[in-house]
Amino acid sequence: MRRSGATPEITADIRRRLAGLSGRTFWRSLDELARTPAFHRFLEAEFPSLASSAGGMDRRSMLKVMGASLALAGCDGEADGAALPYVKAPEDAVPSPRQGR
Amino acid sequence: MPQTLSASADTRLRAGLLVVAVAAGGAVLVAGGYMESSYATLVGWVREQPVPFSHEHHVGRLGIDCRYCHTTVETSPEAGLPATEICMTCHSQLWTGAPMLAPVRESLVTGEPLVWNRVARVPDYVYFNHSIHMGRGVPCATCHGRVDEMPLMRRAEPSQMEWCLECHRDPAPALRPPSEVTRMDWSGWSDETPDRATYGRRMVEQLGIEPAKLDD
Repeated sequence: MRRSGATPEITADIRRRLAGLSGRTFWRSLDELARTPAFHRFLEAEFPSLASSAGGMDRRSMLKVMGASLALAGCDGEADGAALPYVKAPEDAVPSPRQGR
Repeated sequence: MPQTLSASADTRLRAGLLVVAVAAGGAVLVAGGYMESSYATLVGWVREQPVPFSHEHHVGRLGIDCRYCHTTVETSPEAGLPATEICMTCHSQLWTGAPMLAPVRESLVTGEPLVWNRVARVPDYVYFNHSIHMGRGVPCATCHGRVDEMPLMRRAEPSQMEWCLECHRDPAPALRPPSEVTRMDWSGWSDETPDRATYGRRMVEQLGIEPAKLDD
């Protein structure tokens, strides 16, 4: 990776961003913290899978959502499906098991 | 050095543990009660349908046989829902302009099937076969209830494993003459003659039904 970090503007930008922050804020590199468009383009080109998570959902939220969906999957009960009969039934058609489920 | 725990600490701990135990027990009872209730089993609930079809009218009052519409119930695992053409067999002559039947006419014209909402349904892991139950003489009403008394279709029995096993462990009392499976009212049937009281047991023997193999 090209050392695009510590240019004076970026450092100043990082300082500005950090000034108001408190508590646990995570970043993988100063570049990511800076979130400059240039860095984002680089990330997108080099690590497309990371690029989306850089701005959007992180690993922890992902796990939370997965956990919640797994937990709620059991609460669904039986999803009673729709039944679509023929309009004009073919002669001698015998529905096979699970057909059209 | 002052005492770490006050004099009432032990009582409070015991009370706290009691509350936790009661809450846990209560939660289990509530969950169990919910699963047995009709909220979970959906027994007795009516679902929205494209046409408010009345089994009470068609079966109870007109006396149309189940198999007139559910054509494949004797030959296939699926009972089958009537094709639009089956509805229109009569309704091209009767109630031809009824607004209630507009979706049926539209289906015939456009070729788009009617979209009914399933009322009776077993879970996906159950491979229920209608034809064998018909062939051995388990009446429709055993599982679907008195549909001739249902203005709107509703689930009659919970599709729970226990409910299936009830019959499968002792199938004899459920068996009826296969020629009469679509009969709705079976009240007092087995008491009428001594012959009928033993019908189920004799059929189990004759058909070679082995209850031990029905619930494994």
